[in-house]
Amino acid sequence: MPIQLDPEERELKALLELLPNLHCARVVEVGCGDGRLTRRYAGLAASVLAFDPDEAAIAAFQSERLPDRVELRTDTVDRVSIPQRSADVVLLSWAL
Amino acid sequence: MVDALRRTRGWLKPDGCLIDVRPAHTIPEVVIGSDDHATVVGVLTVEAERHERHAAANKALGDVLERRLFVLEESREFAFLRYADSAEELRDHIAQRWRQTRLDGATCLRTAAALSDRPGARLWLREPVAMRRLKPVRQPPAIPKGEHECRCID
Repeated sequence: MPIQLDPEERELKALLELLPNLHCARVVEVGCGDGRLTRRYAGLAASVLAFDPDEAAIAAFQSERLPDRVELRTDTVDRVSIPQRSADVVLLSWAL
Repeated sequence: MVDALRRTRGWLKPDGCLIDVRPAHTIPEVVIGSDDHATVVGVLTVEAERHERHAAANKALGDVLERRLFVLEESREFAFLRYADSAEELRDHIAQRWRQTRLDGATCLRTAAALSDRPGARLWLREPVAMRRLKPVRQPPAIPKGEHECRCID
């Protein structure tokens, strides 16, 4: 069996506790990687724009069907073009 | 990272929020056992650069709070668990996915031995994670010269 990541979904539970109105939120996710977290919450959000500078990670994310209402980009926080005051939530995803 | 936080602030609607989720500044533990009886076998080896990145991220967060670009509204801590079938599988997973962090040979051997001593025990990596909700602080509108913030009515 492959490695199981957070099967208890503690991360998602914490996110939902902090974002009770996620269902109507336009989310921008910074550092989505291969989409591990994105796939867990995307179906609960109004829309998601997720990006990561790692092309291989984005390719891995795209290798499986994207959740509805998810837009993916290979980009950095410095370069990415996002309209001002357009997001309800910005999610810094495990960014160090 | 302060610049990144400042930039993300611009994307947020006035009533929006920033969610910052990342590992707490604690070294992940290798654990075996069951839900009611778990034993820490060892910890991951973390290079100094990763500690420095943690410290830099914490400092950036402290800076934006101090400058009142954001205010901290609420936070959670939880343990992010990764389950593996063997010590070798966990070691290889970390080697493939993580930078500046590894399961060293001695800890891997100790973990394998501990697993063989406890048939049926599970193996997992426990990583403390912090999740915070921050609210952007908007600057109050500038008051034109000659006008006072408060007007007194006689």
